[in-house]
Amino acid sequence: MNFNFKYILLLLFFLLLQILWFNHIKLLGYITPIIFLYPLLILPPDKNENLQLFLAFFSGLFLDIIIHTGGVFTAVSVFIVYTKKIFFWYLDKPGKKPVNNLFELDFFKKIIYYVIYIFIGIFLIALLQSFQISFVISRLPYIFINTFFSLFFIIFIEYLFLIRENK
Amino acid sequence: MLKLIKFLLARNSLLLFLGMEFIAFILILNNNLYLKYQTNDIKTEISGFYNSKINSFNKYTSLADDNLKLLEENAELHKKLLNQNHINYSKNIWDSLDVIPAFVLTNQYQMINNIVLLNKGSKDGIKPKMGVIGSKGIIGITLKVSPHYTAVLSILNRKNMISVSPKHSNQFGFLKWDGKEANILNITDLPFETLIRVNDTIVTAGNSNIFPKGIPVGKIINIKKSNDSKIYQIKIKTFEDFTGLDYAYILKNSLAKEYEQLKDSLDEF
Repeated sequence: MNFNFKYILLLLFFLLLQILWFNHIKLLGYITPIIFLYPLLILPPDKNENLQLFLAFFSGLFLDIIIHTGGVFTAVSVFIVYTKKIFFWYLDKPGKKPVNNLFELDFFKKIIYYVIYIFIGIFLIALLQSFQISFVISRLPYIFINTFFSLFFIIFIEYLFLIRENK
Repeated sequence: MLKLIKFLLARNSLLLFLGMEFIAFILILNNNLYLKYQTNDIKTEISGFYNSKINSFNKYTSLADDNLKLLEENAELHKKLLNQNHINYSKNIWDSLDVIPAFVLTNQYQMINNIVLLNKGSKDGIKPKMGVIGSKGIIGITLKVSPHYTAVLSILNRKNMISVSPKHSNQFGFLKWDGKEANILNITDLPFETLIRVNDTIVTAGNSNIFPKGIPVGKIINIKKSNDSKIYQIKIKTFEDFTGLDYAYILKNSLAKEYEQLKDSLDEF
């Protein structure tokens, strides 16, 4: 996916979805799925990294301003965008064409990629909100469950989009 | 330097990432109350430590100014106290009393005729024959005055003689120093009729325009009666410690000149 109007709309759509709907969801009483990371994760890491960082920064800042979380989402989204290339470097094998596009990955690897970065995202959000590592460790089950639900919604929304695109 | 610039330019995304994270962390710190209080505690601790060091240095450097302020405040309090307690006894002379604070520059107490030098002079309105007191009692009388300095004839000077009386009596004698021991003076010519005991307080008698009545001088430590001359021989210990004089207050009576003129004119008769 290139940087175009469609991508900006997708980013805005996920941000609004996060703010207007997912932030009000309390699954099992305390789980709020984090889905705003999806548009940031699907961008290929080799494409205009600075612009990706700016998009991550402003989308995180937008969330922080709306839900009064200081700079938590800004820090997390920037961190995810900058470090996601590590996953692709890990996939690089000598003699093989480097993988830079998420859509070139098979389903299983893509799920692992989502799980890793959603988990990191939720973990960092908890850590930056509390600034107490003992508290975050005590909340690890919640973070795992939240990762699962976030992944579920992301896959579900992605599937909906893919169905629409295929149609 | 060029290498460093090239290195940074090659990693501009890293710089951008670090800059954005820095901004985000600033926002987090400003928003998170727990962190804010925690960092405020650290900030308070650091600024408190720094300010205490700066303050102690400033206090040390401004000690002279502080002393001067305290001296002026003390002078004002002395003035009020003197006006309240002593003026009533000698209203005709001490209607207009002012107290000028001064630092003691030189303080003699080991000689036979001791002098105290003050850092105020005629420019401050000081003239000869003005009373000088300390924080606890009298010190002496101004002797010579230059524009910026004043020499005071200490009560530890054999040439000095001040009329004093027991606190609760109108009988008076003369305060004299025998030139032997600092802080120990004699009172002579106090009549036998005066009721006195050891430890009684001696104050100024207020017979002149130099000291008003009632300024503390010292406490009686020894009393001797001489049957032949019918007067007491009294030793007193001064309230003011002459071995450690730092400040002095000069008593200025604006009506002194008028009083002296009248007194001089009376001498002709």
